[in-house]
Amino acid sequence: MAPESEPTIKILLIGPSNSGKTALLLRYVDDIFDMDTATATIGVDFRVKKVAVKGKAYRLLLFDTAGQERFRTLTSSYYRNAQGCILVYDVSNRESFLSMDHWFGECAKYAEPGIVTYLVGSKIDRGGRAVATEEGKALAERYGAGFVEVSSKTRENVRTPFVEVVDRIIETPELMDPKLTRKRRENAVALDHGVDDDTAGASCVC
Amino acid sequence: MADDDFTLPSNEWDVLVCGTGVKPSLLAAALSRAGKRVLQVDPNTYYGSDSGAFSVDELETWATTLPPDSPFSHATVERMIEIARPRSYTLTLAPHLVYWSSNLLELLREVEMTSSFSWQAVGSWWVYLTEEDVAARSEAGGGIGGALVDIGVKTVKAGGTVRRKAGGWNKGRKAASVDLSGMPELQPAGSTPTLRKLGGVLREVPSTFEDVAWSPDLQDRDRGYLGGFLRFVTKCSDPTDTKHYTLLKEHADTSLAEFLSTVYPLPPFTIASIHSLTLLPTSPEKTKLRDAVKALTTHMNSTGRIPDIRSAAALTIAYGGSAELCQVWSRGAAVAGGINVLACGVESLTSGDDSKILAKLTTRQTVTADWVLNTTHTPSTTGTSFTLSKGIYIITSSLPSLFAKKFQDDRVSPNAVVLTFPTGSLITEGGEKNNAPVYIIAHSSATGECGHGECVLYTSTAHLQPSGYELSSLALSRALQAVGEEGAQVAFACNYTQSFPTTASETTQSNGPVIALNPLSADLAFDDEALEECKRVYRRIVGEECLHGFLEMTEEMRRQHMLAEGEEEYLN
Repeated sequence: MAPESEPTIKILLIGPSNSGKTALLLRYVDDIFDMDTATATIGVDFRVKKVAVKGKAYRLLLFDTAGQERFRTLTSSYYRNAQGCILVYDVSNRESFLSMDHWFGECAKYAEPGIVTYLVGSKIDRGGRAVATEEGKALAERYGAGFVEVSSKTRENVRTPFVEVVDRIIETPELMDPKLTRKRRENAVALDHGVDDDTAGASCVC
Repeated sequence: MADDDFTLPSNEWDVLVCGTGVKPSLLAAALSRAGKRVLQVDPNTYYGSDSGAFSVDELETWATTLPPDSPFSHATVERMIEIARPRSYTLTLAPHLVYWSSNLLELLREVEMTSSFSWQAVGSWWVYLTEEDVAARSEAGGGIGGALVDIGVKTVKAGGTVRRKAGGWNKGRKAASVDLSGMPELQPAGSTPTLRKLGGVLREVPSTFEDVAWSPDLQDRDRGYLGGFLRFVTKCSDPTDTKHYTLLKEHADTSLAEFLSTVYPLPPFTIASIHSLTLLPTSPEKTKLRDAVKALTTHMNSTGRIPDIRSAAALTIAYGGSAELCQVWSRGAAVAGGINVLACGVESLTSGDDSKILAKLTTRQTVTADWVLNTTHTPSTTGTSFTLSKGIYIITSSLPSLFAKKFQDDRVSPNAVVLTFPTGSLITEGGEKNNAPVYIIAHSSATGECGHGECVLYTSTAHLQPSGYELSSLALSRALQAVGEEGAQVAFACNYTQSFPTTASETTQSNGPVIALNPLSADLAFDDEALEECKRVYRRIVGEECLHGFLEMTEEMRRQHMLAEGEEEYLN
């Protein structure tokens, strides 16, 4: 991956199938809205976006679920070192809202403590709302998460969850450099620096 | 549309992969990336199969229920003291070491996947030897020859190099040559690397020529033979080096203990410490030279090669070793378009039309596939198996002295170490001595497997339970004593027994479309053969003519990655 010239912020999207995670991501990063977003999930599991906050540049790494949420088989490795987590439900689908307790639970279980969470109700452009705004707000408050309702189709509020999550992460020094993560990063062995590379791969001669 | 709509998006698949262990996960990822439609299922509710990783709560559940048709048995679990955050652990069934020269690292570099993992260094190997062990020398150690070698090593220590033939004091066997000319330049006095000792009993294992030259435990005649043996290890696979090559050929089936007490006559304590580098479960008396040489070659090919930490030879993957490999590769399969389903087993496989396989899943769905990859947990009916007693222990101290830097110029500290209790070094209350070495692989909290101020110790020994468990716990308390941390306690212990096939059969290559993968070997280090087997299976499925490299990204992925990275360049 690219050299880390500026601080990287890792944010995850989670939530049930068809809740509009990929649509939100693509609208925010590429400003595209594709009805057939399922195909967009294939091939790459992250997007990179550069943002500037108060004149300082940050590199956002936004991770998508790669469809693993469908059978609730998200790997715990997905959550490694994430500073922010955006949980997405579909306001026109009550069940997707009811599953949010499960997703907050997953996040608490696998993510680093102190991760910034943000609840997003998506698809507000659709008729047949099944979840009231107040319900979403109340749930978010219960988990200490931010909250907004969005439409990836009309672009309404699509930047809000990302901007607010990034702001909250930057305001939290431990998240920008959690003690343990720092220790882990500093102590991690770099595999890719040049010197030994041509010889390092040599396999056992016997 | 609801999230618990568990209907598969298709009933027709190119490959049905059963299991989420190391090999099935790797193949699921590689085959998905090669454009195959892959359905990966696992009857368990977690990733990793036999190489899974668990929180304390999950491990307790695992140990009390043990998955059916698995190689595990006799699991015991105990919480000694209250654990504040039982869910924040990643305790692994597969804390494999990854040697720097392994084909796994080679592969991950090729496919640009190294950054998907956090790599921690495995520092020194330590072996438990008392002063009495070190003092106990074989009678053979005297004589003129010893004195001659003495002079030779003294010359080396003075800074020169020397080529010297050993005298005849290893009577009865052909004279071994002690050739120290291959020694790397020794460091000048003052910055002399010294082999460390903890609590007077845990001794750092000499594994380089410098270590050998300066080990305080070795007498100079031992240095000569040990240097000669290390040289033998580095040379014996080279057919053009007739001398060492022939020596290995002649003694391939000789035990390491016999070879090292006759050809390169070394005292027993040195044999034990050399043997610890092999990580082999058998005692030196039962370890064939060919197996020992293979393991030692891997070790020596890796020693001193890691730019960040010259004192190390191997790495470990944070968050559960090979368990993390399983997760990242399973996710890799999903990213490339595959589907992972947990809590879903295969009830039956039957031949359908068009040579397709009909698989009835335990979720009551039936799917078809051109290929089915199965993992055999139970050792083949014809083959023999052997078992290892394993343990996972949470310690209430970070044991800083174990994870201290060896060299000042190492950029990083080790976050894993290997401790070995040689055969016969431990004794149960019932008076039974360990008939095989007990290995402890210690992981610091930087591996993400435990909390800050704690560490996780993984034990492994071929000594069978119940005494195997007792000996493991004994080794653990001896280690804690030696490391000398006040108040270091065992907070949690889990012991279990795992069986392995004695020899990996080549018969993964069954002829039909149902391919049975061998279980992972019992090795404590990631087994190079695992990748070779997966590559063979891959070639069979995608065809020899397929140009798509094993586990390489697809064109589409590459394009998407360029886009993702390009976005950044654009903004730059």
